[in-house]
Amino acid sequence: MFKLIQRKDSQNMNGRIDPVQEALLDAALNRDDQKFISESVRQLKADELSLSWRSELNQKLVSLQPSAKAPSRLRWWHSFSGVAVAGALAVAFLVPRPQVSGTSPEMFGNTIESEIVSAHVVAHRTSELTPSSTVQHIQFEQSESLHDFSEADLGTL
Amino acid sequence: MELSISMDWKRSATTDAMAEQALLERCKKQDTEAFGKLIDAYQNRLFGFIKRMVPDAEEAADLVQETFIRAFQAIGRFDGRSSLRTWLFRIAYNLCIDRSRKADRTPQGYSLDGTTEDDESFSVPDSRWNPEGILMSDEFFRVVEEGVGQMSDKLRSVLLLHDREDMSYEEIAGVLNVPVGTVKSRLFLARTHLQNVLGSYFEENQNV
Repeated sequence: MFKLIQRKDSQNMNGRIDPVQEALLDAALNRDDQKFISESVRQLKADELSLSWRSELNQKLVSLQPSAKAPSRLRWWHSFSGVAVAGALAVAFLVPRPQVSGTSPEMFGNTIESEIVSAHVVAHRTSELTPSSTVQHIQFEQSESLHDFSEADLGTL
Repeated sequence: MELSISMDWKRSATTDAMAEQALLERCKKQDTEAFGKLIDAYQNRLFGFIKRMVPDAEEAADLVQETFIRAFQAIGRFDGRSSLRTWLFRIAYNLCIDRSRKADRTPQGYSLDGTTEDDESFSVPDSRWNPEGILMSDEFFRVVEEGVGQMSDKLRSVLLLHDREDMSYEEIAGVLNVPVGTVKSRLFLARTHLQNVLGSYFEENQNV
């Protein structure tokens, strides 16, 4: 039996042993001595891997996940968009813009009318820029301070 | 009574298969929690196999990691024709063979479709071999480990998958990509080799 297994010609062209020999082999594998060896191998010490090994594997698996790759792609887009915004701002500040205002004082000549118009425009802009509440407040304080005399103050005059 | 045990076993096997299928579906969606459960179930078993196929324990631990990484990357393409266990052990076995080829530590050229074992040198076991008288001590298991380490990769893999992992002949044939008859003949030769190693060890000790 043993020699049959070892002999090349005990196997057919497809590398399969014939059914009779396979039956003999099955019987041989069920012998007590073979079962004893099988049991010896079964009882060999079990092996365990450490927690640090597992943690290392987890890290490797997380780095392989598609969701872990997505942020890196986004980061690339972020840097690209940052450069684009910076470029757009530079263009906006450096390229001179044409004047679009139709009420600029420079549009009029050096006539009296043009001076009146420009004075009006300046006054109008100033009133627009100055909040009315502030003006009122200042005026109120001024008016109050004018009449804020005591009897002693009058006596010193 | 026997019928009831048989039915219980079938029910349990069906439940296991369903649980594995559910786990597999989650793993296919790259669910790391589910894949973690898969690792829990197989990490030590794969390590036990690879450590005996590769002499260096640290390298064996790295190969177990590599097995899971490859499984994680390829699980979406796993078609379920074999069991998850067969598939994982096939990945592990192929990594061991690749590593073995690179290190060129196998004494003879390895062939996955090798069908004959005539390149192994064996002697017929001693007919006086009496396993009943042997005490299974630490020393005994050390000799068994040594004997396993002396075998060629093709005999060792069959022995470990059958006798340690309880795989069927058909499953092993699927892992190694060889006919079932070849699995049986390799198993017989592997056990015979161990029997000879143990026989000569105890013979030497008796003489001392």
